[in-house]
Order: sequence, then structure tokens, then C-alpha cells
Amino acid sequence: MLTMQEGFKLLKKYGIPVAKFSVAADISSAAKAAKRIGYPVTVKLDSPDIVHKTDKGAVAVGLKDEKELRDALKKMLKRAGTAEISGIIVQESCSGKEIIIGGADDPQFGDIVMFGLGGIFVEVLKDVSLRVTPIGKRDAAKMVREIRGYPLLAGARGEKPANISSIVDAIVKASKMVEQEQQIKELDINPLFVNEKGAKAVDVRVITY
Amino acid sequence: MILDGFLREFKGSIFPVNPHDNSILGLKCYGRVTDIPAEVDMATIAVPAKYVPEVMEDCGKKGIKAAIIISGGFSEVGHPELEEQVREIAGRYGTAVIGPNCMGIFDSRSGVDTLFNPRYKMERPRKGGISFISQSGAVGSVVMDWAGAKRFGVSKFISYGNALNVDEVDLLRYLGNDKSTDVICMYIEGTRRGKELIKVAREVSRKKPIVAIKAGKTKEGAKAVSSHTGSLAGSTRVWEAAFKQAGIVEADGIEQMFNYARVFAEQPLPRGDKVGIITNGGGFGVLATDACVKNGLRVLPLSKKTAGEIQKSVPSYAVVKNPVDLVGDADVGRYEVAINSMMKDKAIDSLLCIVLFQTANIDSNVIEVISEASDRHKKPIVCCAAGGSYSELHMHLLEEAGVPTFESLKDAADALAALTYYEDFKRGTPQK
Repeated sequence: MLTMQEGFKLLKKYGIPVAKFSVAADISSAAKAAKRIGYPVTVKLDSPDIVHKTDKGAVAVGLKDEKELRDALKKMLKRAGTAEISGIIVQESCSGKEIIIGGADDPQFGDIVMFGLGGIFVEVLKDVSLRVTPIGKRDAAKMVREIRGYPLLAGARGEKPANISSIVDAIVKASKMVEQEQQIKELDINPLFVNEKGAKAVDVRVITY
Repeated sequence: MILDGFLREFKGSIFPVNPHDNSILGLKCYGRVTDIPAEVDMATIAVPAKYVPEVMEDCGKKGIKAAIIISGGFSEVGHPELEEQVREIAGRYGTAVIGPNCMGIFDSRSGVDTLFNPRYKMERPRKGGISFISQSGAVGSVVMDWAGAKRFGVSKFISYGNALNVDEVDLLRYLGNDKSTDVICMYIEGTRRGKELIKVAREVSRKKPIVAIKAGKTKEGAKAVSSHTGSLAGSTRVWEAAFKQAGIVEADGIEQMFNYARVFAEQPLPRGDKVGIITNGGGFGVLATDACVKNGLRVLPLSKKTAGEIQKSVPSYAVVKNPVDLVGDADVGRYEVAINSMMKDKAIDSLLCIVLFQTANIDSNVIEVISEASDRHKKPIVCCAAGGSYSELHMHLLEEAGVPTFESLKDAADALAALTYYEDFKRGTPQK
């Protein structure tokens, strides 16, 4: 599995927008990074031993100032115990709807890409669409419209519509990425935050061969 | 049995080969392929599996570039090494092989017929534009028998079995370029080159429709994986996605496959998803609307002009909306006005016409009205009629007139949806 930093690097290489972030070695440098990025921020532990970060309490969101950041990180590192920590990720806070773009390898069709709304929509309702790579714009647009939750993105109940073309763009780029990067076995960009302006990846998991 | 099949329709030369006989069915029989005193285009091999390599070697020496290996007993029963041996020989001589473990080929035009089921048990279909490729020989032969009985016109049937060096991708490409094939049907269980399959099918779909049955959807199961994407993908969903990308119309079984093939062969494509419905029974109109909407089709109100035109010619108790209910005492005249007005309406892309032949005033002339309207306007029309022997007779007459007719509203709506789905793919994926 790649570290989160390596994962973000890969996303950037293919032009998938990533939320502004910085990697810090300790709490003090995390505080400095947060100042540079601007509060509120999210902090995460990047660790090969912690797969489900939220479940393990290795994520804290919406930290408003340095005190909150220091407190959160202290608790987090204590909880992590002996887990190997490859860095502390300090990230700008993002707003919008959570979506997921994933990739996997099918025994008959090779690389495939999946799209869905994040959270319960993927985990409980299995409301996802998928295509075999290579995926062009038209197919990517169909993937977005195909999920049952699409009205939530298109702007239900007077909400501003999410930037659909930024999602389409991210799917097309993810398709290129899984095709060209032979080491990728499975990919989860989960979540990407998408609002009326565009989409930004906030977390990524890349499982390699 | 195979030789008998050839003797009936095939006009070219036939050379039986068998080391134990001097003649078979009145033809001189040769001991080895290499003994044949003429050039040979194609060999049909039906000997026990262990002798196939030797025969293939002879075919290669003889310069035969195409072979159909009917025999089973290869990788499908745990002898991949024997199959590999045959593949090596075929590769060395450049022989294209259909099979092994297959029924081979039926071509309604050239008379090539390697299907070894006797004719009194299995009909052969008449000439037409539907071609069918099948990974399963058994499914294929039942489909051919059925197509024969239902009087569907077939161009070619190819059962490709273990796909030694010719697989579904090659066959799709071939049928895509085949001028006597208008619609391609396909029964597929799995593929060894999924991406190629999508690419080639997508090219072919731009020219002619492909209707496919995917079998074994649950067999493979999703791979044991740890990510969301991996566990959610699974084989079924990937196949569905692949079909969408390739413009392949998926059918849920043999009957639906032929329903679709028939509308594709007989009807033009609609310009969009708006269906007009005509009925002489209110309840059938409601059910038809439900069936259409469930399929993602739209049933919109009639334009004022169309409604006005129909209103003038029907009694005041007829319901001139969409569906148009011509009510139980409708005669052929009412159908004629309603069908032609709706076919002209730009806000209607296809027509679902329900005729309950049980009613008192309807008669056989309605068939001519429908088939004439179908010929005159470039819009698809399908009919729905159900009932006893009188209705059945009229259903057959409608079908003979080239109007696909279904007993069930669901089948009729499914068929229109298939046309609409394919048109949408074609419009979005223009021919290069």
C-alpha cells in the first residue's frame, strides 16, 4: 500500500485536484503548516498500520486554532500507540458533497473505475456505477448520472448544484491513472469533496501489487 | 449426420475422409486428408479428441486454411495439453479453427451446415439477416430450432466452443463486416480479452445492433478484495458496464434476444424516447404506460393538432389522450385515423399499438392499416395482441406483415426500449 503522501503525489501527476496539504514530522511543525494553510484544518495520521483512519481515531476535522490542533494530535498519537507513523497530514478544510472514485482489476476486463456518493451511499446502499477503462468523457458523464443519488449532486431541494464537469474530469483522469500505473491493484479516492466550484481529493488509498 | 447436412444444401465439392470406408452416403471416401485429389477450402473434423492433432497436421500439409473441430474432450474436460498441441499445429500452418467442442457453423446462403442434430428433430431457419454466435453449442442448437419454428430469418450461426484461435471478438468483427448480417445475436459466458471485446463491439455497434445474453452472471463471484471498489464491482456489474460501453443490448434470455433481434431487423430506429400508445381497451393502455415508463420511456400528452385530428373522427366517448383509448366498439377506421395522426406527430418517436381482437367491430383489415402505416412512416411500431385462436391467427398475420407483435405488454415495451437504447448509443457514438 502506498502512503497517503505517495497517493496524493500520484493523483497530482494525473491532474486530479487534491486538497491543499502539508506533511509534518511532529506536532510543532504541524502547527506551523496549519498556520500556512489557514484554519480551520483537518489532521490525519499517515500510517501503513492504520487502514480505517476514522474508525481508529486517526482523523480530526474542523480544527479552528493551534490549541485545538495540538490537543487533537496529542490524543491521536497516544491512541496510535506503537503504530508506524510516516507523517502527520495537515489539510485545508473542504466543503461539499462527498464522492468516491475507485479503481480495481477485473479478471476478464482488466482495469475498471467506479463512482459513487461517499459515506452510506457506497457502504450501505451500494449506489455506484462503473465502467471498464479507457473511459471517455461521455461514458464518465453517464456514470455520474447513472447513480440513484444523482439528484443530490444536481442540486436537490434548492441546494447549489455540484460541479458535475469536475467529477467527469476526475473520472477520466482516474481511468488514465489506473491504466498507466501498472503497480495499482486497487484505488479508493474516498472522499473527494465536490461543491459548485469543483472537486478536491481529501483522502486516497492505493493498494499495490 | 454432418455429411448428410452438407449434402442437402451445399453446392460445392464434398470429400468424406475415413480410414475404414470406401464410400459414405454415395460419395467416394478417402483414407487421409492428404489423399484428396483437389484443393480444399475447409475441413470439418469430428473424430475422437486424441486423433485430432494427427488430422490437423494432415489438414495443414494439405494447405487447408480453415477447420471446424466438432470433437469435445479438450480443456473443457481437463485436457488443456491436447488443446495446446492442436493450437500449436494450427499456428504452424496458419489454420483458423472454429471449436473444438462446438456445433460448428450453419450458413443459410452457402448451405454449410455442420450442426449434427437431425433435421426431423431440429429445424433449420430460413434465410434472413439475423446472425448468432454462441459459446454454447446446446443453446445455439435450441435457438436455431426455435428460429426455424418461429420463421425468423437467419444468416449465419456459429458455435465456437473452446475458441482455440478464433474467439467472439474475431467473430464479432467478421459479422460486423458481413453484408448479409443486419443484426448480431450473441450468447456469451466469458471472455479472455474483455477490453478488445468492448473495443470491437463498440465499432460494430455503430454499424449494426448486437444483442447479447450473458450467462453465468453469478458464477464467478467478486474477487476477494479489501477495498470498496473491489468488493462492489463483481462480475455481473462489470459485464453490464462493458455492454453499455460497447452499445450491446443485453437480453435476459433466448426469447427476449429474439424479440429484440426481430424488432431490430424489421423496424426503423426511433429518434427518441417518446412513445405513443393506442388501444381499444382502457386497462391495457394503463398497463402499457406503466411498462413503458418502467423501461425509462416517456408517454407524453398528444399535441393539440394530433388530438384535434383524432377527435374529429372518433365518438365523443373515446379518450383522446396518450394512450389514445378508441374504446371497445372501435373499428378499423378509428385505428387508421389514430395511427396515422400519431405517426405524423413529431412529439412521438415510436408507437405501441394494442389491438384486442376479441371486440365486436374490429376485423382483419386493421392488419393492412398497421402495416401500411409502418411502411409509410419512418418510425417503429410494435403491436400487442393476446387471446385465443382468433387473436393468435391475427398475431401471425401481423408478424408476416413485418410488424413485431407480442402477447405481453412488457415484451412490447421492452422491445421499444431496446430500440431506443441502441439509437441513443448510436447517436452519441457517431461512426468514424
